[in-house]
Amino acid sequence: MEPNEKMTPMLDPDRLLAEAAALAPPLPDTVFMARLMADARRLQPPLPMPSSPRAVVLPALARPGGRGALLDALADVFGGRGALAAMMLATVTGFYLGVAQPSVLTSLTGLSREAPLDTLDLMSGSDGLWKETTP
Amino acid sequence: MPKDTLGDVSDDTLLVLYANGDAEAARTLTLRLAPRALGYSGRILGDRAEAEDVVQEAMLRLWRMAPDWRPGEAQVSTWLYRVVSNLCLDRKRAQKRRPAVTLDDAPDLAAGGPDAVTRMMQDQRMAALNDALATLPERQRQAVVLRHIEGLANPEIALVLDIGVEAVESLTARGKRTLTAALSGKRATLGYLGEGED
Repeated sequence: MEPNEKMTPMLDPDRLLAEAAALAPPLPDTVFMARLMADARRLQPPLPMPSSPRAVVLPALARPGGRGALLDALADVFGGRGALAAMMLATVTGFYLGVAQPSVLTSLTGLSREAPLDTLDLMSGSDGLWKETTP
Repeated sequence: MPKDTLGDVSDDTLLVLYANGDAEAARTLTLRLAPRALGYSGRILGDRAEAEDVVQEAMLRLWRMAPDWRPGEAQVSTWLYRVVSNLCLDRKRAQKRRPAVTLDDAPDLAAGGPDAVTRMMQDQRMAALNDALATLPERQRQAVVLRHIEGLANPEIALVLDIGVEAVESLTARGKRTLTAALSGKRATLGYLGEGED
């Protein structure tokens, strides 16, 4: 018969090992724990020094590509969308004034084509000032 | 970090907290790991004072290694068992074999435990187990204690002992057989002669 078959239950290795495993590990005494903690404190890296707040650079917001992106870039160059709109309006107006028919312009200014500019009396009450007088 | 929040924190995290200067993490980790390491080294060395020296050295290495610890790569307890195993082997090689743990060295039981007679019998059984463990070759003893008392799985024991899983299985099987044979010789000493025989 094998030795383990003749063994009493109280000395069965499996039962003994299970009994040993169920026992709580020995509690280290306070002096020993104090030694361990002293070692831990001695070897512990120091706390990191608090640093001054640093500016956080946020990633640029994603903008839609294409025409919208081009307009945004232009607006950034000229100082914003409002400024860009004003400049575009001025450009369109100037272009219109440059290519428009004169009749349209005279209607805007109240002048007529029948009255040429060289006969226009801009200062009707000042003719006398230009007359030469003999003493 | 507040004291009452560290109980559920993993060993990995506690070690990182220690490396970052958290003193409470060191205390929690010591209370968690030192008793297990002490129990293991005590069974391997059979001497409480030697076991404490080994655990202190192992914990020193743990604190020194803490800034370089990479969480998730290994378990802190496995790492510590490995260091303790190696230190125990070194001690065993450097000195003559000492007597196994005596009854006086057996771990104290918690208050409120079994009555005196039951406790005495339990002490005798644990002493017999320790004596039988002391007869095992070093690696077999480590494998048996890690597997059957410390409750480690075979892959973890393989990491601790730096061997393959199959070698762990072989070591524990042979260790159990040797242990059985050693315990059979203890029956007369412990008053079991004649019991259980055909």
